[in-house]
Amino acid sequence: MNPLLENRIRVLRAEHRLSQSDLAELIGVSRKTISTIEVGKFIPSTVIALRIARHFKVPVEDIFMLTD
Amino acid sequence: MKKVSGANQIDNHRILLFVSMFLLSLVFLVKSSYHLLSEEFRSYLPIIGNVVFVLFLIVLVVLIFWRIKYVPKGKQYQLLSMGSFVNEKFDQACRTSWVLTFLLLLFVTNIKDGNDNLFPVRFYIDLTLFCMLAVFSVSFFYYFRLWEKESNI
Repeated sequence: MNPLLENRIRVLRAEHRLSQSDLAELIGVSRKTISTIEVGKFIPSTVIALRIARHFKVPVEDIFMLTD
Repeated sequence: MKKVSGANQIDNHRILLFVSMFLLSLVFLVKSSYHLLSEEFRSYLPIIGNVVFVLFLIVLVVLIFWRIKYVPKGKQYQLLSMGSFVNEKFDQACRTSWVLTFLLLLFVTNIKDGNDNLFPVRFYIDLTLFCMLAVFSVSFFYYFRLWEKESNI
């Protein structure tokens, strides 16, 4: 997990019964992008973060949060 | 057959691009090693060089075919590739390659100052191109970690 940023994508995916591939397809990114965001290896761009938030119909800060 | 998304095709296209860069770097390695090897081994270099160059051309053709056939065009390409993981690793590989090539050039310049006739200029150009392309491709594969298994739960 990234020391600066946490995310709840895995939880939201589980609630919506989506695989990484499904979510990647729905928001228009590759599966590698989703899997690396989830484990905190990659901090997404604002556009991707907003797309994920829009898909789950929640504010961005409900998905991504600073750890400090 | 399962349909692969546009974003995944862009990732695949980038991976092919780096394979082609790696093969091209080997072409320059073969060219620069001409000045380092003995007469006996030099005779094999044109054959090795031609084989690697043909492999590079094959990957290049596949790369162009892939771009035309599978990669989305125009605005959709911009949208799908923007801010992705593979794009970030592409930039990171560019930076690593730039730094290491710069250091190599500094090193080579210092050697040249002392021994002006050590090797012809062509050798240093080929060596620099090899370093630039090899570091670019190898560091991309390292950062991208193609071999890592991903979960898809």
